[in-house]
Amino acid sequence: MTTPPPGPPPGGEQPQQPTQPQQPVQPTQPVQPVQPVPPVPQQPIPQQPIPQQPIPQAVAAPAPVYYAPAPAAAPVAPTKLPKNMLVGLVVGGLVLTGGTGLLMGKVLNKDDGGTAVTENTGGSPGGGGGPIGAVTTSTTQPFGGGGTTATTQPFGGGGTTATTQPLGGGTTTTTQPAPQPGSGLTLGNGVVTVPVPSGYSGEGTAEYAVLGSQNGFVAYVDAVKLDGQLDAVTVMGDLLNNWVVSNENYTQVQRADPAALEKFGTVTSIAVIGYGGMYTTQNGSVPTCGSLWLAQRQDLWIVRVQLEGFAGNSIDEACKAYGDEFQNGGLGQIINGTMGDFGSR
Amino acid sequence: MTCPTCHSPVPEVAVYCSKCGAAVRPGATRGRPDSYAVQSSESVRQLAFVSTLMPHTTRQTGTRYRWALALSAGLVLLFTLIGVLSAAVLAAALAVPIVFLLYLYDLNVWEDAPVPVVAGVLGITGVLGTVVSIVFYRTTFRDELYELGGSARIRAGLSELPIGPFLLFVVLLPLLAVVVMNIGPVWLAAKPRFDDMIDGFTFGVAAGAAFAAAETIVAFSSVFSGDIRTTQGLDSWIPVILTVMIVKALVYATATGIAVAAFSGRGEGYDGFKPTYYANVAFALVALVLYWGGIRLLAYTDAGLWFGFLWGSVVLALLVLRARMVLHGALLEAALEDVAKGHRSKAAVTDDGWCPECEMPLIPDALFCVACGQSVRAASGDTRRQLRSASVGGAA
Repeated sequence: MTTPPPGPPPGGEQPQQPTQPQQPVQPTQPVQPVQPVPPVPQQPIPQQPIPQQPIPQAVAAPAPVYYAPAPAAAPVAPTKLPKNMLVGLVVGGLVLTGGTGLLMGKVLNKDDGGTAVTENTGGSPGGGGGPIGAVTTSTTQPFGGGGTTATTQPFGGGGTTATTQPLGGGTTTTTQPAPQPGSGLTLGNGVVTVPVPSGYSGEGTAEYAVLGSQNGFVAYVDAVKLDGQLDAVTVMGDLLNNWVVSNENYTQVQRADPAALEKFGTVTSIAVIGYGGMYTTQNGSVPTCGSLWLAQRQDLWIVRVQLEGFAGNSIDEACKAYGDEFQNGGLGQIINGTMGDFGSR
Repeated sequence: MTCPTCHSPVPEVAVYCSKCGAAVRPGATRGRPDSYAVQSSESVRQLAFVSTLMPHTTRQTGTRYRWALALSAGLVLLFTLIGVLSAAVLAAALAVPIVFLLYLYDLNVWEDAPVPVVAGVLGITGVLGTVVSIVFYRTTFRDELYELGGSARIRAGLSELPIGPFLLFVVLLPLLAVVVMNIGPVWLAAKPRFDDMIDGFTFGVAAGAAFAAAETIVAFSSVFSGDIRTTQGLDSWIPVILTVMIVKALVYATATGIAVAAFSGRGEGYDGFKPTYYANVAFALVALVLYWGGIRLLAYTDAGLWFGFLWGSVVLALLVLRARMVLHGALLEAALEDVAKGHRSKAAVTDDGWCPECEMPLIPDALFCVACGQSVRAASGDTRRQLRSASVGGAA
């Protein structure tokens, strides 16, 4: 960086050396003044005695060594925190944050369980309005708390359907309009027709139909013909695993025990299972509650229905909203219309 | 020797011009093609996050933040893997803001005025971000959110995409987010103390991270009402946590940083609400729309969580490269303008000092180190103040 200043070397005048004749000076661009550079402090010379070493015959020229100028005053440290303290503060802050999150979870968690959800957990969502609340059940409830109930009119073929509210006590009777003929989506070349209630939109193919409302309730229906008879209640667990648990978006899934329903019409086996969980994407996590239905009839056709809703701030609230929609909204119409039509053919 | 770009005199041994930062070695082309002016040991086109989002770090100090971020990510993933999702979500949301808060303090980016900086960048943005997020995710537009989620759930196909809710969450929410994220940093960048472009960029980055944190906490608040610990579906949470902790936070941060840097302008004083600023605000909006549009559309596919993470990473990479080019180009252009106008930047070295990157001497009036090309405007707050004021070592 620095060059020795021009001028005679220290130690007095030296004899003039002969020089080459001067070449005429060419006109040049004006030279910019050189910026002054800071003087370099002298490096202290070590005073230790130099041991005598045998001089080798041929010594390679030593590699040039460049010294960085030593600062006369040390630069100010660019940071306020030592390295370890910075990393420690970040990690400590996150541990504290995580602890706060745990505390929030403890305070806000309305369930008093606080245990890991297992596949056998039944009835954790509890509360009112289960997914099968609007239809008949004769065994256990998908979402616990209500014991068992039995009603007589499983899937209405039209008109009104008397329903029983299994969860939360009491019996209610709701009126569900029958699907209008021709207003639904027909699967399997006439195997079953899925009604599209008001407030829902749907699309379908010969194999499946999907319906969705404007407030987060959805239904999926498909129809398949099997080679033999099945027991619906024994395959519900597998169906839930395939359709819900193995889906990457479902986490914290809680499930009820599968429930066998009364046969009716041409239906030879029918069952339902309820579930709840968190539907999680990068957009956020949304509590969800739903149910899966499976029925087979005498001609070996089966129909599978998934009803589900996103609602509330917890799985409890989602199940309550789901129950309300089932009884008073379109989900009940969908399952009643679909199963009723399926069993009447 | 004379700089071939700005014709300023430079020492014979110089590699870079001290005034304009251009390469001056024999054979060098005009300008400065590759060495990143903010951190001269890196290429402009290098995909480096710390030196981009924390421009006041040096190669050495930046390593501390890389470690801090890596350990943060590891800790949050540990929370996720053991199933304490409430802890994982809160820590993931706040990891980047916590690191940035320490960065502002550690390198004295807030120039000994922590209250207005923390309040203006993190406080205002965090509060407003929470309000906006509650409106969109929890109250006014919750049904639209559920309709959008339900549509993705049944994989109904794009023909069944609910256009209204989609536009609400992919266009309107990002638009409001961009506005909110600019309020605090712009207020700060209009102050003479913080009118440097790198300060504006830094405050924009911090505000973007604060908004992302608020939005994440609100959008995932349902985990706080679930079980304390769960064991089901944790593998699905890994891409989600990685996305919200790193990708989303840094996408918001970088996009906002670019916009606020345009408000600050290249040279001294802030440029203010000029067309360049609005163009960069529009750029930030487009980036957020692309990010959310891709994430929400990929939710209609199988393995959409990982695809969403990858898509967000692509958007983030493009934003980081854009930010580096903006900072690099602005530092060089501002210096060249000063030379052309004969103006001495207030950021220039007053007497002499030491390069914070390579520790070689800085010559008086330098804006760049002649040895490594580092811009002195990218030095930490304390170092910049020292370089602007009293003599450090040369006058000893």
